[in-house]
Amino acid sequence: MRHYFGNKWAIAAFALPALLLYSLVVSYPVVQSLYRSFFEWDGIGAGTFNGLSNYAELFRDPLLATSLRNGGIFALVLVVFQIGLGTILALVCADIKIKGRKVLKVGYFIPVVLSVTVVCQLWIAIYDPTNGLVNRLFELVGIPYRQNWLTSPAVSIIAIAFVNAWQFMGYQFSLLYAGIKSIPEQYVEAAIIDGCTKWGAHRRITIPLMAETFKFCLIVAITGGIGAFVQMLIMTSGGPGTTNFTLTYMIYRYAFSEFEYGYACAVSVFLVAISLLATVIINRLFRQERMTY
Amino acid sequence: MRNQRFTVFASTAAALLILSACSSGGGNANNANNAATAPDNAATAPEPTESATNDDGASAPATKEPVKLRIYAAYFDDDTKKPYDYAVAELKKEMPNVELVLDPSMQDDGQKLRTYAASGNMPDIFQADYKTMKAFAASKNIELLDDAAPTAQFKSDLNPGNEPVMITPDGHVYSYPFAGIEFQILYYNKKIFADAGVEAPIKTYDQWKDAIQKFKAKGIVPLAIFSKEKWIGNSFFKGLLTREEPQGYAALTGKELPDAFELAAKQFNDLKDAGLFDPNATNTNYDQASSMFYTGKAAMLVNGQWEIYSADKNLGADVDWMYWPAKDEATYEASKFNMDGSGEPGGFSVSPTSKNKETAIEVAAFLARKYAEFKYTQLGNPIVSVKIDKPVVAKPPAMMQRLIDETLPNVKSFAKLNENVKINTALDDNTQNLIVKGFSDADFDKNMNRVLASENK
Amino acid sequence: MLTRIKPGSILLQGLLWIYFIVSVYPLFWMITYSLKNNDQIFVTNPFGIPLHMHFENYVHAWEQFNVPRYFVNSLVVSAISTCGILLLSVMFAYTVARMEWRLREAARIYMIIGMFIPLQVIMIPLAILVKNFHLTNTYGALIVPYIAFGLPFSSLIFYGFMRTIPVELEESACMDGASIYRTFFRIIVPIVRPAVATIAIFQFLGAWNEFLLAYILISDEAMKTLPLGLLFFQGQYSTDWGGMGAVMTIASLPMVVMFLFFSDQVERALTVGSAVKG
Repeated sequence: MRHYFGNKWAIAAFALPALLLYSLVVSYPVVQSLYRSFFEWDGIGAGTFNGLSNYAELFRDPLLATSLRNGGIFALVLVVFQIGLGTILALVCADIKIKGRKVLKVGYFIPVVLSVTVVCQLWIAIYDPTNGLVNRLFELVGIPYRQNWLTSPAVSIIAIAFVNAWQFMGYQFSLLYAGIKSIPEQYVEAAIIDGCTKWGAHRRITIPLMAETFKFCLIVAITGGIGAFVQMLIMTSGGPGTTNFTLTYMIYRYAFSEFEYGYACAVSVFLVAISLLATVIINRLFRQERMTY
Repeated sequence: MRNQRFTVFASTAAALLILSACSSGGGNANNANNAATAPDNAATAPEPTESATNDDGASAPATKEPVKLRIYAAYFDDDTKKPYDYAVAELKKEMPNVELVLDPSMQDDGQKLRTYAASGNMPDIFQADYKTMKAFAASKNIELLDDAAPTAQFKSDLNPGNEPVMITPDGHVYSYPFAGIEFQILYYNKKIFADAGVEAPIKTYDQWKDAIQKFKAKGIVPLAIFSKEKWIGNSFFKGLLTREEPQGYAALTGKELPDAFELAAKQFNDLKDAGLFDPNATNTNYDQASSMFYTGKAAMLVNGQWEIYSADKNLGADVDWMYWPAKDEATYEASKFNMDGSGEPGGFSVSPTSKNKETAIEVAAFLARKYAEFKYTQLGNPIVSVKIDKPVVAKPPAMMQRLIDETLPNVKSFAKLNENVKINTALDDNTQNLIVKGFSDADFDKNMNRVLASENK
Repeated sequence: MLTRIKPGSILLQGLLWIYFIVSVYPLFWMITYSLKNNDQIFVTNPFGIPLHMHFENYVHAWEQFNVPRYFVNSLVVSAISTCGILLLSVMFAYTVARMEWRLREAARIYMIIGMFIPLQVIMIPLAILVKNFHLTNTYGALIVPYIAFGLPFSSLIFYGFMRTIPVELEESACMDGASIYRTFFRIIVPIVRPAVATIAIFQFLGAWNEFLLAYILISDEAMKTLPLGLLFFQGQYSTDWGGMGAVMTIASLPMVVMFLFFSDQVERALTVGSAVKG
């Protein structure tokens, strides 16, 4: 097998097209950004080298704490909602005994098909403090918990994260569903014959076998949360003030409103670094539990 | 000041790359017929006419060779399309050898223009705001017009007091402006005022707070404000501030927030606590706020003087505007002509790399004049950069007439710009924060003091 | 088949269908939105069926820009990008998941980084690149970056899938004397079909909805894609939200229909996939 999987020509033929294109279009500009993060630069002119002072500045920037906190909250909401609910729904829809599961499956994916803009506009209306559905629903049920969902600094980031989580749940759902489907059904059946309940079998067999899928979904959800941006831009413009800022929002502001492109590059490098760190940690966590069959 | 429409756009547009890094640029533009409409003027008739004399001070270019110029200008709604079409039609008469190719711009925080600059793809003529001007001046992407042929004449034709829209604080000219100095006022619904028993205009804070209680008792939002855009809250703050400090933000030169600012923040906060704003104010866009005002759900609206046309169309005789209230009646009278607005340079600029630079400069100056002429003659809008000696075709709305008769001749001061980007950003953020319950003027003072201490070393 | 109907399962069914409605409602909402004017959208009737149908929103959209042209552009760009992504990433993923070479782990991490890159910051270098390769205002200006940016995500999904394929399959193919290329295209690719279908949908949607790059890199009217149509409805002060709704509906409905069609394919692919392994 060694010569088989070690076939240099095959490796080159398979890997190089992707690597070359990726290096040229993605990495090369990224390396330039890395280089520019050591400059005071407005994005157009020559710029002046200023060593690490962009990074020193970054750690003094009060926006950094806000952004990290919001990114963390965002990631948490995504993980809990998308992966939690996504797994349950995927398991249920993979169960052939559930009626109408095909229709359900398609329905759950619909929000993903729509554009972010449509979904955000919908939720802006839903969150409206006077006419919005959420507050009206609370009123109807008699809960005196009315909120200014998008203007109150304490709840707005969660409210926005929820919109993202809800819209792209279908995305994680379909990945998880595909993961479940790729597990041979006999495994679960065997466990049930051995006396497990259906959910017990899933817990013991299906879920551990899906480690790769979960790992991937976690990476997507967590790094997606850390780098979230569009929803804030559309729903609250990052405000009130800077309460809904995230790292990507910082980049956007510094690069285009404040003409500090070099500094924005430093923020991007930081963003990439912590995303990478998160990925490495997730990989480590899953390493011990690697299962193959 | 009005570049925040990109947010909305972004909303519209941000249907982005969900998969990799989500992002957004944005703005708004009409692109459909640009390529078609704009050039067809020139495409049809590039025959040189001998009678190219010019009554507006912009002299015809020396060359009669056909010249093609790429122009990056706003062209997406009536406000931007009509003046452009008018100016292009005039250009065809004056300089038939010039063909303009329009690349319509959107309000996207300058992202596209900066990409053009960075990739060496600058249009011959482009609309620049002050921020862009400063950045492009530093990187030599904008032509310095101090000694350009049309500049002297243009300067001397400026309306009185309009130097700030053409000349930068350090004394240079980078663009030919068409807009005058715009400012924000308070619009109010006369009928709602009468029904609630509120006397108009409101002159002092006590009257203002009293009015708020009366409106709230009737279930009416006292003031509609589209504070999803940060600049309007900023303007609101500046409206209060300029009662005490006519200079506006230019006064922020020290390490500490001056008293006038603290007072304005306190007043702002008190008005909020009294219930001036809708709880959803920081998430209200222009369409929502104006709709609230025009459907009688809000008693007042804050916006620039340009809102007059729309207000007149929607409410007719029921709407008027008032000056900013002050701490007492004496201050009100003394400060009512301290306008809440500051001119900043902006208009048509030219790229230094243009192959037909001389012609482009002539055309830029010509277009700016014609934009102003359009606004003045066709809309009856006197707030334009240069004097226009043509008659006004349209009768201005009553509110505009009042502005022309009562205010413009008596203007005491316009606010002045602060040059520091960080201070301006902090003002945008923190004035928006002031609208939110729970953020007090003390927080405002603290945040601003921190920024001032680090910026005004 | 006597199914004992338990209260638990009724509850479960109920919840499943409630969440279904919550998921499908935006589609209905988007269509009604596109038939309203600003007043209905914001004040009088944000959630219900339009009281007065504003079909003119669609007429406006049709008049403002060349809808069929934009549509075709979107279709061409999205289709070619999707094919490119699938081909390149499935090959790349295989080398990382299976082949033995020294830098494979490094190559995988290198590729992952692409998922975290904020587009804003590389916009300018990218625009310069596009210009230097003379791609400005061609389909290539969008297709090339879309493929490149689609690679990390797709490669990772394929990688995850391939890690779960029993290596015995290839071993037996090897014994039978099949070349690595043959094994790859005849055995591996069919097995990852469920992933292919899923990724194809994701990537197609991504390209179809992409705005920022299209806005920055394309200024030629003949090359514009559908999301740019939204720009026609935004004024300097006021925005025609109903008109935007119309553009969004025009852009999204074909996707929904296509997805409905393809989801059946996906389901079938999934069944086949598990059958192969089982």
